[in-house]
Amino acid sequence: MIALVFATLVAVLMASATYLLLQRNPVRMVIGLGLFTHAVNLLVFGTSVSHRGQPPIIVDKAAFNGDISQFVDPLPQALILTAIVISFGIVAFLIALLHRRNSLEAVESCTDRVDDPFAMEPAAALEAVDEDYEWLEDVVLKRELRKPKRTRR
Amino acid sequence: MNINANWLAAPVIIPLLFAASSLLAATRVNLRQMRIQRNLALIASVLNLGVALLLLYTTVIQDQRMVLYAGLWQAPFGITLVADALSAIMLTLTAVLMVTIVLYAIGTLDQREGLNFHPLLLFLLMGVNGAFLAGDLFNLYVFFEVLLMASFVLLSLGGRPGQVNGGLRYVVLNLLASTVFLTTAGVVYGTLGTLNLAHLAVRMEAAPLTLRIIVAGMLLIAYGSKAGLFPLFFWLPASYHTPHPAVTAIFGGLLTKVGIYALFRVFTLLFPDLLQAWQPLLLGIAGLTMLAGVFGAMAVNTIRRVLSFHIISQVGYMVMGLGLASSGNQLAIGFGLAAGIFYIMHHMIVKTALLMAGGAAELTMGTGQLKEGYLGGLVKRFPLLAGVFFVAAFSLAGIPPSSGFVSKLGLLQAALDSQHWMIAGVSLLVSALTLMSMVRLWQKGFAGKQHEDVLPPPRRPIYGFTLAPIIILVVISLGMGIFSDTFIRWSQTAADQLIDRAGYIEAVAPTDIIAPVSMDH
Repeated sequence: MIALVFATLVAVLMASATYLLLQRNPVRMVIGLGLFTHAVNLLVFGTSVSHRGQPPIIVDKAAFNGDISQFVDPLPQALILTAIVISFGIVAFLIALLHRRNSLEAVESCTDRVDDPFAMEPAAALEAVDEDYEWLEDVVLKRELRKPKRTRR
Repeated sequence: MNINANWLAAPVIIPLLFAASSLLAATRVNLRQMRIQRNLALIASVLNLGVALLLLYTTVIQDQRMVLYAGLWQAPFGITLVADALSAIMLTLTAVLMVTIVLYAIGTLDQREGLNFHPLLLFLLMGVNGAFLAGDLFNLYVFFEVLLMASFVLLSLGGRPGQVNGGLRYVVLNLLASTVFLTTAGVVYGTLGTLNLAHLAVRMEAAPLTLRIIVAGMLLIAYGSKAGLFPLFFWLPASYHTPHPAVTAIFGGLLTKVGIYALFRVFTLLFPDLLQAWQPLLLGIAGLTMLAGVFGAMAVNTIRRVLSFHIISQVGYMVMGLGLASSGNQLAIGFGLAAGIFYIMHHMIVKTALLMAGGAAELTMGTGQLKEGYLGGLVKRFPLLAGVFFVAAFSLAGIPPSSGFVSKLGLLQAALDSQHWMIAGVSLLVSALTLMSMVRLWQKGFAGKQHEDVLPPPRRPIYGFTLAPIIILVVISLGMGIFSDTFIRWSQTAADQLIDRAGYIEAVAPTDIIAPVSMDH
């Protein structure tokens, strides 16, 4: 019974995730990815629900006779923990990328230069791109200043 | 000489230690700190190469398998690292590429992309090495994620519009593929009660056919999209041309090959019967991947885009080797597999060299457009760069005496021997088309003349540090072609070890005390 509930839950989550992933809106896509990873976490969790209510350790080692229904399997929980951390990190990075993209939307020529990342960038575009890099400009500036000045005759 | 199994942990630990310490070393961001990071990365990659050669000697020359039980936990319970000949070959190639890419970065990296480039590169190395050594499905997943996470950041390091757009597609599609992989791991654990590869190999034999087909199919989808196989490759050309040339070069040489390695490992170890039954499927995917890649390369117009599409078509050849694994008429069993492994070796070296040379040209000229008059004149301006590009390009196309010729010949022999005329014909056709595409790159990109009014003259010089790693890789490629018997013998050893499943299971020796969880709960 509990397995059926889990299976239904995973199926519903995956279906909604797929629907969201197919949207054009990137924010919905990210939410869809989050749902998808959670659906998979639940699926892995579902592999350890068979002996509910038991502790994840062997309580009485002397009386243990190899009957695995005396304890619940702790491994899926460890796996999920790892998977949650990984997917959390990636979704966080994805959101950062999206934020970056939105701040670049102001640059009109954004899309037609996808072809050629080394094309000369117009000054306006550079400004918009580089607002996060002000500290870097300082570094470059200091380097420029350190160069010996050319004297004109 | 018997070396301690603890060495197996070194390819994971060395990059981790150096990456962490180089992050700590660079507290402020300036040129001097960048130099410290670079030196640390250079030391780490050289140390890593040493360890990889040690493992190569033990596993390939002495024909052994090495197993490390982390914390001395017995096989199916703890983390197990396993190195056989294939793992060691991949580790060594990765180590060689890493050393050359650090050298290449000295010549090409600027401030914008140079910040924390080296620590990320080391994290990438850690993930790739770990994936080659992982002895169970879940750790394979974890190391895949480590290398992907590093690659996500490397890809969008410059923060340019194209990089952000390419990075988004890359992250989303790779995360999806990883999730499919994790789903498979969950299904496998829920039904068979283990994740250890050797243990799975034992239990998979008794598993129902439906389960085996589901698991193999899902793994094919997950690894296939990471490797860039036919219907799932679209993330690769959307993103590979956007980052810094050094990043593209290491991605093109390494990342898709990790997916191919996982396919080789899983299919030979867990599904030897399906390898036979699915031969038409695998060969079909291989052929379509080759054709899609090579036709895609014709349609695009910058140097690195063309080269990215060629990664796809080359991956097709490797899967062709896997598809021909089980068939052998007059040739030895596993000749197809050995040819595939030799192809991986050849491809990793040559592709990185090509992407490095193409990237250096793009950086210097300020554009990669293959239109008339944009590039061109590189032969006169940088004859050495043009020379190494020429050799690498014709090695990719398969002109003797390069390694490309030998590897393609091996695959063709295997296909003809088992009378797969169709795939043999397709591979020959794609080979010819690759040659055509390389000639186009040469004519539009390197020969010819640049129109003065299109672009200003070159923006920056080409340093010796840019050229040296390309020359090293090209020389290795030529060496692999001329002394091919040694390398073919190594690949044959690797293929024999892959086919000898019992040997792998015996080496890992999983204890089987707990019965599989029953499915009716």
